[in-house]
Amino acid sequence: MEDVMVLARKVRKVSWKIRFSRAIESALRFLMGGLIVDALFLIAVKIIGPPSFQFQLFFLLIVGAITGGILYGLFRPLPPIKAARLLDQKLNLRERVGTALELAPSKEREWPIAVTRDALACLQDYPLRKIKFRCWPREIKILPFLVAFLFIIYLLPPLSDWDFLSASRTGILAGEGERLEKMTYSLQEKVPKQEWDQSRELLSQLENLSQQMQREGIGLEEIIDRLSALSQTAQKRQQELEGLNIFSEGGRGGESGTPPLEGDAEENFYRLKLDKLKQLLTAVEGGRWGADLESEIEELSRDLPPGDDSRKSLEEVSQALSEGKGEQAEEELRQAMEKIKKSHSSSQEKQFLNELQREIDRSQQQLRERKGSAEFSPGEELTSPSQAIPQEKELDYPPTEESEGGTSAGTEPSAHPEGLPTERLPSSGEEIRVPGEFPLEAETSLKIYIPGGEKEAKAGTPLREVYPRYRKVAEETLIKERIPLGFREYVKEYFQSLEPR
Amino acid sequence: MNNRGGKSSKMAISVEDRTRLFRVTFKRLENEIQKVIVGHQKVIEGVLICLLSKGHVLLEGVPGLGKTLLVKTLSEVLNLSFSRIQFTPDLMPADIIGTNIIWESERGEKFFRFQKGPIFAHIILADEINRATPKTQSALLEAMQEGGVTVAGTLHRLEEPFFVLATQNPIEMEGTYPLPEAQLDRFFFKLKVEYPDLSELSEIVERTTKSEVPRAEKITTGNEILEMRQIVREVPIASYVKDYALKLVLATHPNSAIAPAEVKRFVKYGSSPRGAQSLVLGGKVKALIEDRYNVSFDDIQEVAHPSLRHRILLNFEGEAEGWDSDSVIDILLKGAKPGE
Repeated sequence: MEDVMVLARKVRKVSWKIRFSRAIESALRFLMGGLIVDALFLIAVKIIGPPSFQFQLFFLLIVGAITGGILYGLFRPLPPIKAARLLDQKLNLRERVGTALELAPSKEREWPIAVTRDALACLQDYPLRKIKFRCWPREIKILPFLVAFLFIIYLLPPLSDWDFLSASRTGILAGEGERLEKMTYSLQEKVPKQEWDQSRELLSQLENLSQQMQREGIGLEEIIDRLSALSQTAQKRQQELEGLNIFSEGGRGGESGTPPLEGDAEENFYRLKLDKLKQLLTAVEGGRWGADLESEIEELSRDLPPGDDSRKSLEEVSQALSEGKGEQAEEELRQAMEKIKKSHSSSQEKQFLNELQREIDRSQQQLRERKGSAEFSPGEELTSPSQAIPQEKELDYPPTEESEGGTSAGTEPSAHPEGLPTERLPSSGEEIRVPGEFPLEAETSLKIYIPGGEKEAKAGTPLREVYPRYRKVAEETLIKERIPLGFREYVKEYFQSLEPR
Repeated sequence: MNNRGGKSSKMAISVEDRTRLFRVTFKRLENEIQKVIVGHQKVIEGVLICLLSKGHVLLEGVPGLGKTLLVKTLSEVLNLSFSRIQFTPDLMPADIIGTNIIWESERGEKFFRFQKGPIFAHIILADEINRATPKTQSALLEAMQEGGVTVAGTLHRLEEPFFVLATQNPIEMEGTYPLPEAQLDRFFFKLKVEYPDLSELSEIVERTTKSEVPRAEKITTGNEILEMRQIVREVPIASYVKDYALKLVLATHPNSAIAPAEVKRFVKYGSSPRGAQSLVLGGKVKALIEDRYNVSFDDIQEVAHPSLRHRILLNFEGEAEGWDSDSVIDILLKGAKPGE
């Protein structure tokens, strides 16, 4: 019995070592699990775009996995028999310790005592303190590959950048060959790449700024300055790309009830308003709001038409300032700027549409007056080709005879003052007349004759003559182009089936 | 090692002493047999394990490898009676177990008297057992399993230790009757007698071409063998080691959930519970001869092949693919992790 107690104590000592090794083992296992989840997360990020908390979640998963693994390994149940079996396995004791502990409670004493003594005798040869249990899980071999895989995914561009690659691959597979491949790569190198780079640069600056703000606790004023600078750069970039400038086209006033302004006057008016608003915004951002600022805003709002949205916004700004709400005023100033820009552009568009409508009405009116002199109205449709055949004789051709010369250069009156008509191309098809557009002030119409194509034409060259040439080209293409092996035979069979017999 | 003292004498000797004596006797037996038989250490060890586990052994090998000599030598070293039965197609069951014959007394009265057959010996060599008909082969069934034969309604007990060694030739299959599964299952081990290597062959020639032929000496008696058999059955085995042996046996069945894919595909029938008994008892003997008081996973693994190879029946696909039961057992040993 004493021997059994001694053996049990030894096993208990070893069981703590086993727990620690299991803690490391399970931590590594959990870490690998966490890395796999991280890999999936990164793949999702590449497909649907990054959330703002991606790095926090990434590290949270890893730290959580390691902590969970250690706790699981330490507090997982470890019965003495199990510990004894692991000890047997470690020291190659041929199940002596495990059998001794299992037989200890039995009534039969002779053999259990013999087994226990045998186990103790074997254990005496081993210093238990120096025993080290295996900490590394069997799956540890895949850890480097897992980390490398994760790193590769991290380096990969987002899925949206892969459009060109996939398009080129599809092109190649479809048998369009190197031409499409080259074209695709040249496209990738030119415009879209630059645009992406610039957009990414702006985005990365904004992201860095946001991170810096969180990290260092930068003041609001500094951030506003940087954001304004970035916003200006972005606006400039947008204007360059889109080729739009709201002040370059010059509106003519709107139909919102305010007296329309004429061209440059309106442009200058809105430019001034915006400049003034920008100045005011800078003043508010700097925290310099007060009575002077309020009066300036009120003055500006009075210049605007009474029903204008931007005027209402400015009045709200003024009210917010008078109540000492600087930040609210700042926000409303921004909204006011936006509204001014919008109302300006919308009034421009409306003006342009109205003018366009008026021009159309005037043209239709003139046309109605001139109805009868012209063959077709713009609104009428051609119902048959014969309807389009000209009745005039001024463009009759071909010329039947040449006119005689005059007495001196430039004295002979010509029957064709606008020059000889173009020689008619030989064609047996029907002619189609296409009426030209009527200039609004024009007296005569312009008519263009297009010779019709051959009807029910037959191929003039027999297949026997062209077939060898076509076949040669097909064979060359089969050699040159990247056609999947399985399809080569199909192409070959197709051309063989065309062979004349 | 005298059994006459009964329980009191057993208690007088400690387990350590008894197992030490067991080990010494076993080694002496082994060494004595090896004086005559060259090589075949594994076969000799397997035969002795079977003898001490109260089992019977089937030896498979081509002719001329010393199977019969091994059995004869064993009977010499054990100082036990020995019978050799040459199985032929015309051999009848009565030729093995004996028959009632008419006797006449001095007073002229006639009566039946049982004439014992060759099976009434301690060690039986059933040579080329697969050459006899299944009817005759089955005559061994009761003797091997029950330790007795019944003739004309009378049970005749066989004297212990009763040990059957059967041999069969794996290559000459024409005119043979493969042993039925029920018969095969009664053999504790099936041992394969391999061809000797160059050095062993040289030693065989050296020993058998001289004027002096080596002779084995008597080492032990039948009673000592029975005492050793008793020790074997006392050896403890941990529950998880026993579970491992049982899982190995269960895994031989194609319908079992723990059977590997190869077993499901190539095996027709798996081992019977006798296979598990064979694994555990064989493991116990292995533990004792390796100076241990408990059975280990290694012991079970070492006796897995001879215990299970004749109890696994391959299906047509398995045989067509060139599999044999030994390769299936290899798969089982690789798949079933000890202690899990």
